Amino acid sequence: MDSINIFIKAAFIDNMVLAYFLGMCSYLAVSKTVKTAFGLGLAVIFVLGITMPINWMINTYLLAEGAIVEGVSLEFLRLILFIAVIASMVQLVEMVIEKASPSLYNSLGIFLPLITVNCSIMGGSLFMVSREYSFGESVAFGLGSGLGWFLAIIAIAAIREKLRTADVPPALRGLGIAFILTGLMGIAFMSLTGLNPADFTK
Amino acid sequence: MKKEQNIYLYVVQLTIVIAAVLAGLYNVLDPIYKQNRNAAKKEAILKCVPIVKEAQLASVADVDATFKTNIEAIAIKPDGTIFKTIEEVNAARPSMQPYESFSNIDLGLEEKIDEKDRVYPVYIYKQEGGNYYVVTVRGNGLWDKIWAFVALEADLNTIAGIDFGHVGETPGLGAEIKDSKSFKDQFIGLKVFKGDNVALTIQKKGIKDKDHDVAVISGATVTCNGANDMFRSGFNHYKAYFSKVN
Amino acid sequence: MAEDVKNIAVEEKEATIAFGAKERKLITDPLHLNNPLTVQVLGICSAMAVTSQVYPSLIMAVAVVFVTAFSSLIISLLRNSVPSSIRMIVQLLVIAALVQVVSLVLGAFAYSAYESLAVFIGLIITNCIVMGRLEAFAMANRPWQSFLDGVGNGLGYGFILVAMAVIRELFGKGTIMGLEILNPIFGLFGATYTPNNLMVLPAASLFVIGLMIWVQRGLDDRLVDIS
Repeated sequence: MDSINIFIKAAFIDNMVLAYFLGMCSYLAVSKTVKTAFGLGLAVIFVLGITMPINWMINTYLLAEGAIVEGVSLEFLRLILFIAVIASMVQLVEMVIEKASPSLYNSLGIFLPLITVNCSIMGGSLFMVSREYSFGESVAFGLGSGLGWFLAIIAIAAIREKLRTADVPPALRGLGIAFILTGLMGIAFMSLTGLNPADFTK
Repeated sequence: MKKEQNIYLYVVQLTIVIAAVLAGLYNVLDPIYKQNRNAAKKEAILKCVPIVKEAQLASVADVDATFKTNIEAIAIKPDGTIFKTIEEVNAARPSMQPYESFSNIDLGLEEKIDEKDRVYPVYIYKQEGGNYYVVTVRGNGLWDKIWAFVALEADLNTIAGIDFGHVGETPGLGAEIKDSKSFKDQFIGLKVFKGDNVALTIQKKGIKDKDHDVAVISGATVTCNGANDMFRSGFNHYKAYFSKVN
Repeated sequence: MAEDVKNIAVEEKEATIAFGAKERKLITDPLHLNNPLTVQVLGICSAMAVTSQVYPSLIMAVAVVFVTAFSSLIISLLRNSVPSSIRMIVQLLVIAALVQVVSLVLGAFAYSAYESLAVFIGLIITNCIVMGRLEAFAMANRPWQSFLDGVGNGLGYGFILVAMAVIRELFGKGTIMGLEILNPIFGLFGATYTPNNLMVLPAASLFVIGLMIWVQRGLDDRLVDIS
């Protein structure tokens, strides 16, 4: 039950983009059309869902105080190992998809390298550590935040497609208006903050 | 093949160099960090006591000295058992990681074990004409954990000072519990208990009971509700101890 | 990428450390025409979260300058020996190590700032400015130039960060670095300033940066997005 709550919370309430503003670089760069946004969104769900449990295991069985040698903490290697896991997972996923499904690779492939530097992946792992999730919860959190990111990028891409026919001041066209839009979406999303899915299942 | 070996060698060398540099730095800097963290906690505790002056908290060393000379720390269990030294606490709970001192007691860890086994620290500020008792309460805000150090006067009911902390409440809204001095000032002089129950409340709809109510921060309803739950459960853990002292 | 690498050999013969017009341009360009935040749109994430107050933004700016400058320097020194198939991993390793250094140093010497920045210091690793400059510049240029490019981009980023923080803290709280500014001014006319809570919200940073882009592009036609 807890895992389901965490999944819903991560996807809709503590949304990575609209509540924490993480992963903004690729969010703004790849949201010009819905089609490309869809591809990147899928890739993010995939990578978040895989790296989160792996990083959880690394953090619990390798880095935590007393995990390997009693009284020794390897915390100072956390950032390096996390980013190494993310980078190598992205690489691995890319190779697997290329072999297994060339058509998916063609639509996803170009976005995969971008994901390494998507802060929502790294941020997710760091949040997982600071919130002390269990293994199951970290899987749910990874998939949930991936879904949330996916929904957010689709939403902004759809709005930006419509905006192309709108009369925006020239200096504000493109990025400027995208920023302001995201800000408005973020404020709209604030009305969801504080909802606790657990309250509905009581 | 040779080229591939070179790659592995390169990565291994680079990793060893980087890990060595980081491990060296970590050994030098982490103790200072831990000291800072401890001092920050001690400072938060001392800040709630109204007679502590700012000059006494000017540096890490000052904070340590003030804490050492004025504060007597003990730990209590919800059933009222009192531990005078940290060794007693550690001996009573062999399965838990031992604590170094009372100010190291981690309420986050305590929350994970059975309620009757938990220990809660009490910091007693010794002075003639009535001690101050600083207790800790902890709960959930909107995003993450929130906590508060509350200094009570010798009647163990009147609030002499309060200091909130939080992990990640929204700046300008929930984070105001920590940042807004006027919010915290409202608590001074209020009573925690009414009869046997915790009555201290952050009221949404105006102050009704001027001995127990505090006005809500606008836009931070969830954080304030969390703080109310935190007061209810937090002060209850100390009730058995309080009735023992009085 | 491959062509760039071939050009190195030619450049290598020039003077090693100098500070002429070319070098000055490396520092000044990223401040306006090629600003990492408002023009290249890199490294937005951390800009959002830390800019509600000036002090943490300053610390963040210094941290980013440090990481961009030294990662550029180190990568540029290593550029001829790094096997190209693993250059991304090497870059990430160097960046992650530098970020860890920053986080250890801050924890020891600027504790209060570290507390409020903790997660976001870690996110400098994925700050695209750092990676972006390594790929685009440091992999193909000499160490001194790369170092300057890193400093320039770090400063361009930090400048916008601090400017945003000044706007947000001034209107959101009426203070700068915790000093009361607006209340004394309003006091001259017998009024008090009511803080604008919207500016403190994370979403406000998006409005502020949107408006900054508007102003910058409005003043300089070269930057207008034609697409």
